[in-house]
This record gives sequence, C-alpha cells and structure tokens, in this order.
Amino acid sequence: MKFRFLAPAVLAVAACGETGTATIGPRSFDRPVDVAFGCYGRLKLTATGEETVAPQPLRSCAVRALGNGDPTDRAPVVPGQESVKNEAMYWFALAVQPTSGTVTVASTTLKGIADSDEAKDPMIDPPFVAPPYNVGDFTIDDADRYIPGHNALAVGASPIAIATDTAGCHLLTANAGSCDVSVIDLQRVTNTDGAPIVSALGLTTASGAPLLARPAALAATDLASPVGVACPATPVGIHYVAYPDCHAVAAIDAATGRAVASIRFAADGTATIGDGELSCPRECGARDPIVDGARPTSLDIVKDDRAGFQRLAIGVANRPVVTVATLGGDGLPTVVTQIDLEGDVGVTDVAISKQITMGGKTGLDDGVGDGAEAEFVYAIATDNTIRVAEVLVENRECDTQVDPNYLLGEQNSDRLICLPVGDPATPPRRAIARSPGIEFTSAARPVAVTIGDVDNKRATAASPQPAVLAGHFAFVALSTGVTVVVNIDDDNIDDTRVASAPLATQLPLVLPHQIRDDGADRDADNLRTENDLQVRNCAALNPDPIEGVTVVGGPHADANPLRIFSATQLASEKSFALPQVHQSLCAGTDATIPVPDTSFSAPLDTRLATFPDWHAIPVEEDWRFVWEGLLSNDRVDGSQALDGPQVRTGTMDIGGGGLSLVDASAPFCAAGVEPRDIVTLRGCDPARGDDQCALGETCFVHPDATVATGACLPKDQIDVLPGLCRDYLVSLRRYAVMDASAGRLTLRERKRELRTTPITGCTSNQQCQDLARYDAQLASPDHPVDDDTTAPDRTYACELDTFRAPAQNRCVMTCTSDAQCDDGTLCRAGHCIEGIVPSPECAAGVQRYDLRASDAFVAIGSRTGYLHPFIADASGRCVKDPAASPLLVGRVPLTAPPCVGDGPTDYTPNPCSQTIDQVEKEPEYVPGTCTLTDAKTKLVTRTTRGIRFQNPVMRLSFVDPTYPGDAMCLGDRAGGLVDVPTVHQGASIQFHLADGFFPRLMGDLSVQPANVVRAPDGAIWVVDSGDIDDLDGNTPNLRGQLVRVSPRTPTGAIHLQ
Amino acid sequence: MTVRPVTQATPTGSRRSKLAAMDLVRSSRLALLAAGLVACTASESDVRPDPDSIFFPTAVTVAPDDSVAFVVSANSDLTYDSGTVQVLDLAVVEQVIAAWKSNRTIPAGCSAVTDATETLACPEGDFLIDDAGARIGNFASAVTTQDLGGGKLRLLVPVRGDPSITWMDWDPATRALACSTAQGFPLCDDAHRLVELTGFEDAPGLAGEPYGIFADAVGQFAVVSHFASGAVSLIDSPATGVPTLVDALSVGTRVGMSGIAGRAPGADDLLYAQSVADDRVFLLTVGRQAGRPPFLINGGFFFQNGIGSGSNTGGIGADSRGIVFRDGGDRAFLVNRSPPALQEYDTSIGPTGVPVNRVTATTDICRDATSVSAAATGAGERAYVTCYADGEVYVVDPRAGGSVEATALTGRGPIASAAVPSRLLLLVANFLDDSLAIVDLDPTSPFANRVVLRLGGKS
Repeated sequence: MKFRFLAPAVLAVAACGETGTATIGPRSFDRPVDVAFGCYGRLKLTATGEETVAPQPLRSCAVRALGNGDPTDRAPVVPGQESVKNEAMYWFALAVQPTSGTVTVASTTLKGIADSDEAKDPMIDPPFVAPPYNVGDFTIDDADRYIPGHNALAVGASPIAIATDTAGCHLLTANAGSCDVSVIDLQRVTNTDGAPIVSALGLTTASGAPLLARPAALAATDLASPVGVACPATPVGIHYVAYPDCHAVAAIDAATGRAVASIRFAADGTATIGDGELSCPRECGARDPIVDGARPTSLDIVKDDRAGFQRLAIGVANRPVVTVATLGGDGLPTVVTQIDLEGDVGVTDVAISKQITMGGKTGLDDGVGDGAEAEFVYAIATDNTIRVAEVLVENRECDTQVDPNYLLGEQNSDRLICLPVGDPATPPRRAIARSPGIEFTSAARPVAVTIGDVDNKRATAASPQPAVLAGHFAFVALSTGVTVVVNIDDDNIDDTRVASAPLATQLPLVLPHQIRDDGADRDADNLRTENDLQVRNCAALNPDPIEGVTVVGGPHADANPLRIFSATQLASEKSFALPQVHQSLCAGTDATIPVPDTSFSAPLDTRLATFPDWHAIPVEEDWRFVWEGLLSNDRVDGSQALDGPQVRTGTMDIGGGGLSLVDASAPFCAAGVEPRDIVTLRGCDPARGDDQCALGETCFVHPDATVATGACLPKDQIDVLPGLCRDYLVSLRRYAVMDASAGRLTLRERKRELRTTPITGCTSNQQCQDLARYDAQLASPDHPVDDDTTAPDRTYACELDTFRAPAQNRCVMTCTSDAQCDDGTLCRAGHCIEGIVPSPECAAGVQRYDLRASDAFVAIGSRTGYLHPFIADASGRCVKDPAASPLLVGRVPLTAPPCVGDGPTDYTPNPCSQTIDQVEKEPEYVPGTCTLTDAKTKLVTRTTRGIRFQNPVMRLSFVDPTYPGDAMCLGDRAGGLVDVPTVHQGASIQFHLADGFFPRLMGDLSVQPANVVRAPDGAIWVVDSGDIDDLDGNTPNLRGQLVRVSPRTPTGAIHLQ
Repeated sequence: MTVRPVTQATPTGSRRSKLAAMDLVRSSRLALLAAGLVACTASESDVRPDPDSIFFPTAVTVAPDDSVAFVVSANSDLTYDSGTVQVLDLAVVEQVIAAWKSNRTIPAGCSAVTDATETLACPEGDFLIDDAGARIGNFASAVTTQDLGGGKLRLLVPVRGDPSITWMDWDPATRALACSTAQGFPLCDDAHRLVELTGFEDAPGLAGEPYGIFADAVGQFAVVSHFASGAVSLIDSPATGVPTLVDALSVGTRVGMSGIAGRAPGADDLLYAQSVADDRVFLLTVGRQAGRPPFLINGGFFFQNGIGSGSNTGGIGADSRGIVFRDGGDRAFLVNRSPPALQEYDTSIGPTGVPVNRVTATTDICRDATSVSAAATGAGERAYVTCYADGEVYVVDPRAGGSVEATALTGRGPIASAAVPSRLLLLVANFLDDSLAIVDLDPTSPFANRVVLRLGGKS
C-alpha cells in the first residue's frame, strides 16, 4: 500500500511490552486536546468480491482486536472479510490541536487476536488476547513531504474535538474558532491522489439557516454501517455538537451539515427534545449577544450491542444535572432523562457506561452473571469530585462516599450498586466526604473521564490483583498528570465483604464506584506455611515484601508505637506509667506476646476494627498523639503543609486589662482552636540574630530571663522597654484562650498547676502537696522503696480553675513572691502564672505565636493533618459544626464519657471511656525484693480503663490514662493513687502507618492532560496538552503527547510525542 | 522644594542606585562616554523622551472610570534620559475604534494593516493627552492605581533602575499627572520617589528589583514584590497624605517575588504574593496599631499542587507570573510558566473562615507568559494572558474547567495588559515593538478577540 504520508524514520526507542516513547526529531504534536481513530486496510467489497484498500467502520478492526463475542473464535473477523489478514489492517489515531488548528496523524498495524500465541494454541482457554504493541509499531505521519519539519493537517480555527463517522471513512472536527466542522477524508490521508484531505462543512439549522454558534464538544453515533462497501463521498451518520451559548446540543446529519434534531436546555437546566430548527447566537463573523443559561459542554455516546441501544450523556457546565438521551436506530434522540446532582455544581465532563451485569467474580460477565443490570454516568463536577448516576433503573445519583462501616453486614450486592443520594435508607457518609462524589486524595482536579470494559480474568490468587482488570472501570485523568482507575464493577472479586476473607474483601476495595486500590496481598497475615505446617509468627511487624511492589498487605504500624517523653519529667525506667496503645495477645509459634492493636500481628478482628475504612488511610503516614501538642505538624521547609504554620504571626490587642491575639488572616477556627487552649508568644530566637524580627527591631533577651526566649523590641526603645516590660520578658508568655473567633483569640493569664492533679479534680491542699512529691519522684529511676526524692520547695492549693477545661478543683501553685514560682512563671495575686498582660509597648508589632491544645493528646497525621469539627459562625465565632461527623476529632483527653456499644458504627460519644483487658508483660520480682527473676517479666492480662478514640483513619484505645503509682518496686502498680496522670506537655505516642490506600494509576505521568479517550480496541489514550521545557535535563521537552495504555497491561504506556 | 535638573533618571548615590540592576545602565553609559570621545555630547533636550511616543512599554493600567489609561515606558535601551508614564485618552480610542469597526474610517495619519485587515494602525501621539504625562526612572516594571475619590487617582510605579517606587497623582480636572512642581512632562522629583523606609534610625533602602505592585484604596496601602529577593515592601498611602515606605518583609522564599494582589480591599485584605522560584503562594496581611505605621504580617502559604507532573499526592506548579482576583476576591486567576498554565482558584472564604484556595480550572497556555488580566465581557468572564515569546494574548474561558477561546496576535513582546470593562477593550503593552495593541472584547463584534487598533510600533 501507498501512504500519502511519508513514513518517518523508524522509532529508535526499544521497548519491552507496551512501553516506550515515540518521537521524531522535532516534536510531532502541538498541544492536542482530543483524539479519534480510524480503521484502514484491505477490504473485500461484498458486492463485487474484489479486494481494495480503504477506510472502513471501526468495528472492522475492533472485532479483530477484541473478538466478536464468540469465545471460541480464535480469528474473529467481520463476516465477509475472512480473506483479509490482520497484517493488512491499520489503526489510525488523529489528534486535534486547537492552538495551531491542526490534526496530527499517527498509525500502527493492527494486532488481532489471531496474531497472539495463545490463539494459536487450541489447548488454551479463551478469552484470547491480542499481542501487545511495541513503541516501534507506531508511526507519526508527515502531512506534507515538501515542507521541512514534521507537519500536521491544517483543519480549521481552534478545533476542539474530533469524531469518526459511522462508515469510518471520514473524521469530523468541531472548530470553535470558525464555528464549523472540518471533514477529514481518511482515504485521502492515506493515498497520494492529490485530492484535498480536508474540507469545510458549514452547519445549518433544519431549514438551512447558518448555524454559527461556537461548539464545545462533539460525539458521533455508530449506526452499524456495513463492512464491505466502498466509502461514501461524504461522511454519514449523526453527530452531536454541544453549543453552550445556544443552550442546546444539535444532532447533525454529517452528510449535509444540517441539524435534524436537538436537545434543548431551559434556564434551569431542564432538557427537552426538539427539532433541528435551532435559534443560536452567531459567535463567528458577525456576532449576537449571548444570553445566560444552561451551558452543555461535554458529551459521550455509548453503543451497547448487548443491550441494543445507543445513549448520549450530556454534561451541563453550570447546572447540577446529568442528562441522558436514548437514541433510536437512526441515531436521533427518542427519550431524554435527567438526574439531579447534589449541591450547587456544574459538570465539566461526562462518560457513560454500557449496560453492566453487576456482581460476579469470574471475569467479565455481562449478560451471563447473576447480578442486577445497571448503567452509569460518571460526571466530573465543579467541586472536583466525580458524581455517579445510575441511569438504567434508579435514575438517581449514587452516593459513593457512604461510610463502609454501615455496610459491613450487607450481603446483597445489588443493594450496593447505587446507594441513592438523599434516600433515607442510604447510610451516612464518610467523615471527610464533601459531596456524594468520588474524591481524589490530592489537590488535583479531575479533568476528563472515560469508561471502558476489559476482560482480564484473574488467576487463582485470593486477594485482588490491582493490575488485573476484569469488568467495567472508569479512567480519570487528573490535572496533576496521573490517570486513576475507578472500579465500577470489578468482575474478579465479590462486591460484598466475604466473612471468610474479610481482609481481601475490605469494602473500599470491592464496592462499586471506589478508586481502585493498588495494594498487593491485602489479605496477608502472620501465618506462614513451613514444612507443610502452618506457623504464626507473632514477631512479624510487616508482611513479606514482594519485589517491585510498594504496597503489600493491609494497613498497619510498621513498628510498635513509641512513647516519647522528657527525661526531666519521667525517668525512662518509668515509661510504663504513661498511657499506651491497647495490646492484645498473640499466641504464635515463635512466641506468645502482647501486640498493639496497630500491629500487623494483631488478631484479625482487631486489625479490622482498628482500620475500618482503608480508603481513608494514606499509603503511609506518621501519627503523633502529643499531650498538649501543637495544632499543626507543618514543617518550616514546606515539606508538610496541611494545617498552617506551627509558628504563626499576628498582633496583640492589649487594653483595659485584657489581652487578645489578632490575626487578620483569620486562621483560628480553621486551626481548630478551642476555649482553654494554650497560646504561647514565641518571641524570637537570639541565636538567629534579628532574623525573626521586623525591620527596626532587635531580638532582646532580658538578663533576668531563665527559660524564656528573646522578644523583638524596637531598637530605638531598647533603653526603655526592658525595664518597663521586665516581667513580661522573663515569663513563659503562655496564655489561656477564653474565646475564639476566626481572627481573634481572647486570652487570660494561665496559672501554673501540678501535672499530677487528679483528672477528676483534687480534694485538698494536702493531697496536692503529696502529689507534688509524687510528681518529683516520677523523674527518679529508683524503686519507690529506695527513692528519697523530696518535693521541690513549692506550695499548692486545691482551687477551682476556670481557665482550664474542665473547670474543676486543681492543684494550683501558690506564692507570695516570684521566687516561690517555677522558672518563667510570676507571682500574681497569690498564684504563679505563666504570662502576664503586658503594657502595649512590650508586645507591639508582629508577634510570633503557637497554638496548643489543653489537657488532651493532639492527634495529627502527617498526611491527614489535624482533624476537628470547628467552623466560623455568622459572627465569626468558632463553633462546632452541627453537621460534622463524630469522627472529626483530633483530641484524646484522659477522661471521657462512657462508651455506648462496641459496634463498628457506635461512634458517639467519641472519645469515650471503657473498661478493657490489656495484655502486657509486667516486671517479675523475687518476692519481697525488687530483684527481677530470671524470667524478668511475666505475661498478664489486666483489666483497666481505656479511652477509645476514632477518627476516619483508625479506632484506637489508649489504656491507662492514669497510673496508680508503685508501692515498693517499679511497675508493681500498688501505689494506691487514684486518677493521677503522669503525662506532661510534649509527651507523645507515635507510630508510622504503612501500606494504606494507594490509588491504582494507569500508565505514566502526563504534563497537563486534556482528555482521556477509550479507543475501539479497548486501549485508553490520554491526550496530554502539556507543554514543558527540558529545563533540568531530566524532564522531557514536550509540546503535548498521546499516551496509550492497554487496560490489560496497565503498568506500561506508549508515548507518542 | 528645589527641582534639580538631571539628564538621566538613574542617578547615582547610595539611596538611588542598586549596583546589580545598574550594570546595564553603567555599561550603556560607558558606551555613551566612549562615543562622546569622538562625538558631541547630547544635550538635555536631545535625550528627553518624546512625549508623543511609547518606548519599551512594560505596564499599563486603566482608571476605574475607564476614562484614561496610564502607559509606562521603560526606556530599556536608554535612548532617552528617563522612562515615562503617559496618559491615553480612552474616549478617543473608543471613538476611533467604533468608526473603524462600523465603516472602516481611517483617521489622518493612520492606516489599515495590510496583513491584519481588522487592525487599524495609528501613531500613539494622537491618543496621548498632551502634557499629561510624567517622566520617571528607567526600567519601570509595573503600575497600579489607588483611587483617592472624586475621580482622583494615585499612581505607583516600581522603577528598577533607581530603584524606587515613584508615585504621582492624577487629577481629572487638570487631566495631568503631578509628581513635581514643574509643569509639562516633568521628571518626578525626589519627594515622589520612595527609596528608603521611613521611621527607622538607619533608614534601610528599598529592597532591590521592585517588580509587582498592588494598591488597596480602601486599606490605603500598597505592596511591592521584589524580583531579586523574597521580600515584599509596604507603602502606607493615605488618600489625603503622602505615601511613605514603611515596612519590608521576607515571606520565606529566597528570590523571585513576582505577582502580588489583594483578595478583597480593606483593612483586613489578604495579600497573595507569587514567586518565580517557588511553587507556593505566600499570604500576607497588613497590621495596624495605634502610634505606629502599618506593617506586614506573614500569613502562611499554600502550594500550587493542583497542576504539574507530580504524583498522586500532588503536582508542582511553579514560576508564577501574575495573579488577579475576581468576584470580590472569591476567585483568582494565577498564571504559571512551569508547566505553562492558567489556573483558576476558588478563593472564597470557606466554612472555617479562611479562603478555600482550591484549584477549579486549569488551562494549558503559551510558554513564557508574562501577566494575566481579566474582564467580564457580557458573554462570561475571560482571562487574558500575555505571551511574550509568541507575541500573542491567550483568551481563556475559565468555565467548564477552562479552555483557550482564542489567541490574538498583538505584536512583539506583549508583557502586560489591562482591560477597559465598560468599553470592552483590552490594552496590551508590546515591549519589543514599542506599541500598544488594543483588542476588541465585545463578544458581539465580528472582531472579537482581535487587535482592532495598534498605537505606535517600530516600523
């Protein structure tokens, strides 16, 4: 055969499987935004029996690549074309490029099922698979051999979409710049007969009036043109063109350019079927005013041979609605249905599925499976989620964010197909869901979506295999350049949780409309088979690694939780006195030991209860539970930025004896500040000179200061202010929040108190004095019997303190002079306080400050951040969001209301307190001594108190919020103290979660994806319009590309650049 | 105040020059000196800028009532002794365009452009208000207006050559810029050049390379970004008083501060500052306390991680070149070079009281974008990105996720633009060909998104 386009130099990049990059000298693309396909090759004409070479309907090639529905046919072809070999057939891909007004053409030989080794072996069961493409199989064609460089076809002004007509002989581009259509003659693209390749097609209304509105989208119907006939002179079939400013979608007869029907949108988005007599504003040449209204901007058509229908989905960019039109045999709309979406959103892209037989786990089972039938529209909404509507039965929006804990017992997979939004029977959403739509974990915006089916039947592995796709899936291109796979119906695994395999069938992994998980061996546990015997390895902290796989097994902490504390507050020998994560017993072959609930070796039920929704668990994350910790874990270098800076800047408003912290960026409700929290004015670090001070200020350290850092003072007042501000400058500058609004915190002086004050309140001054000694002893490593630590020379009184929560009697440090107070605290009105209200001059200008919780552990994840339920009310005051999920909590206090129930959805109260059995190793002493036995420890199960805490990521119990003290030896727990805590500010429990949820990505990264398109052979093509320079020598120098990924082998990709 | 005659606008002295920025100036001067050895020294009048010409325009802004536009010429080849700010009469511009569009009327001195039939080319002098302009230092980079009420405006111009922030007031009654006691195209005097911070003992000078500027008329201040550092400067600019440079702050990046804008004018305006060297947008507020001048406060930052080849955890959008707010601060357009993209952000106040700062639209644009402006056209809002290397303006429709509606060839080196909303025009400063291109924004016009009038330009 003879191609009009010169075949360029053979692509040089060697490839393995479907990977590689195809480039020719200068880049071949110019920021494409859409792609369509052509089928070309030898054709046996039915009428004459002659063979010719010609374009033909897409299914002629698709049947060879995908099969004809007959699972035993190893060499499927369209009837009548049996004499044509696959090697005589070619795929074409044509990409439109609006900026240059061109179309770049790529081509490759067709690889059909008959070409696969499997197909040649009659002993191998179907389904058969076409062999993979190599990058060298693709050619990017030059449209003009006489012009230097690599040329594309010029088609029109700003072509924004392209579609293949039903005969496969012509492709149409919708030109937004000229408000018309260009017709590409595929026959002439490939032959050198000199006739024009591209012609313009003006569009008209039914009566012939020019239709000069600006198109935004184009989609072609497939009217089952016969294979085996010569190409018609003109394109055929019905093409749909979306006209946003005409508030309509026109059905265009491709042969004449005449609108023959329409779907019109009223101002409220209501759609009706109309005729082709559209009255549209002119938007090219002479122009008419635009009337605001519903703006259809996205289209998708699905042809479902099994169901026997063809349907058109329409997205309206500024109305919360999805529209579906059922098309008749002539391609014209017969019925239009609309589904309302929740919230004030629009739709920027749509994809519609075939009719799907839901459920099943034995490979693609449409029409043969037992599940209910369903059909879906996936719509990208302007809130950056993907909304799902079931459009066959329910005609409702589906809630993809239902909390899976409410579905654990649901064994009717049909009920999980679409949980209707707004239905009273639909359970509540996940805690951090912002809409019913599918959300993505990064800040990325979903740009485009398409839906495809693939039949890659799973092998025998019990747990999901992320790369092995069978069923129906959505492929979503994100603005960050990744393409994410979403399960619509995974036909390789059950759609409900299977009681016998709860790890492998975690609901977020198997439910419809969930982002596909990329983890392998999700059901891995610490059982191994050794010498034909099952052994349990309780010491296993992680699953066995799999080479080349990042995420293996279920979520777990990859080491036992650490307790971090200050040696000046607690001797390391007494770390047992701190609260800890609950532990269970692991009776293993290697050992019988206590394991924390976060452990990979924890009992199965514990693992499931600890991590109930894998979708909410980042792939890896550091979790810190810090007593009176900062409300942000962000890093100065920006490597972690979720909750705002740890150290912020604001100003002080001082007057009338009152003190307020003011921050015009209004961060306080967003930060989750609560009344009684702690504000510390950080001043400056003198080691950094004046860097942390404003111009004209210097970092001044008062000579009397013992613990405080410097403070920024005006240089021109440095002789005066140290005297005036002495007390302020030497104090800790720590205050209690009395009232919080978005931009202002009202502060009060905070009293110095004993950290061992009973959590239920003190009862007497003497009790406080006794506890002061105990407080001092906590830093001693000695056994109590040997400990002669005395209490420091401080006095405490048991008094009501309303500046801390809860307001109750606390052991307050009392004084008559500053000398009787701890360093950094000052004696005021008989109490030692941690900061005073200074004169305004002392805290003028910018003040650095931090925010800490009071009397609670702050729970912060390095990716999840600090979760809380606070919002700003109409007046700006920080209040709890009444609609917030009970799981939006970020604090674990030492006291809490009793738990009510232990079921997976028993969320309130949260946190709550409970009695719980704790398994641990205790020191074992020789009776009557503090000498350890040879065994040193003994395993005990102890009933104790625990605080149960649950957020979207985990449910944990922290046991022993208080410690009874020891009587004789360390850890004998016979001290008799009641409700006495040992935690101190900064003490923490930390662990690192591994193997959380990671989305299954398709292919490689793009720069700026503009579209994602399913090709007739089932491949997914990402149209990347990204334009980027090779600035660092590592980045490809691109002006756009096409990235082809086969869903059968979705790891690699072929890049046409 | 004594007016000191000078023959060039990059005077030396510790308060007036910045060595790094002056390299080009000095070498040019050396060249001139060398030339002077064999030629006559040019007189003051010889090197005085032509009041009827635009030369190396770098910035343009429009009066709030759309009556006039102010065009900044940078004098980047040092042909003259100074740069200029000139005043364009937009009524005249609109009149000529209307006649041209309706019946192809070509005023005297103008001509139809042969290779762009929709474009009329005219000498700029016919559209500049006589004796309305002022002379400033060389290498001015931007301009902003502060509404003083009653039609009066204050212009603030970052001048990289001095370096200074030069300010001048516009009075619609006199139809002239005032920045000196002199009359008739005066050189702005020292009192109108902010070169050092006031209120400090050691009076630190203005940070180097003043680049972007934003004025808040309600808050009565202006802020300046500095390209050579991570600094932002604050100008206290009371409507009834004299502006003073009062503070400077490093926002946390080392270099390359570029675009800067306020979300919603007022005392609590939240300022957004970009950098060419960082993928973060920095937030600032202005603090005010009795008895002291206003000061800048760091307000954190957010990452532009909605675009760019990153990972599942986020992208990297960097090399930012401009930001403009719309809808009362609830939306912003940000233009980046890496990758080349226009982003629309939701900057509305979220439930917790802070802006959402979430990307809502992303559009691939040209390489080497230099600025962004926006306008409501009557057919929806559009963002306009100047594309320096391509000589184009990208017209971006941010709706439905964002798309390029048109590209308008404007001239060589488009570097800045400003919309004239009520007249549905866009003014584009073409740095490399000394011209101002005027784009028709009227969606009902057959010339929509095309240059209908070109003022000036190298032949």
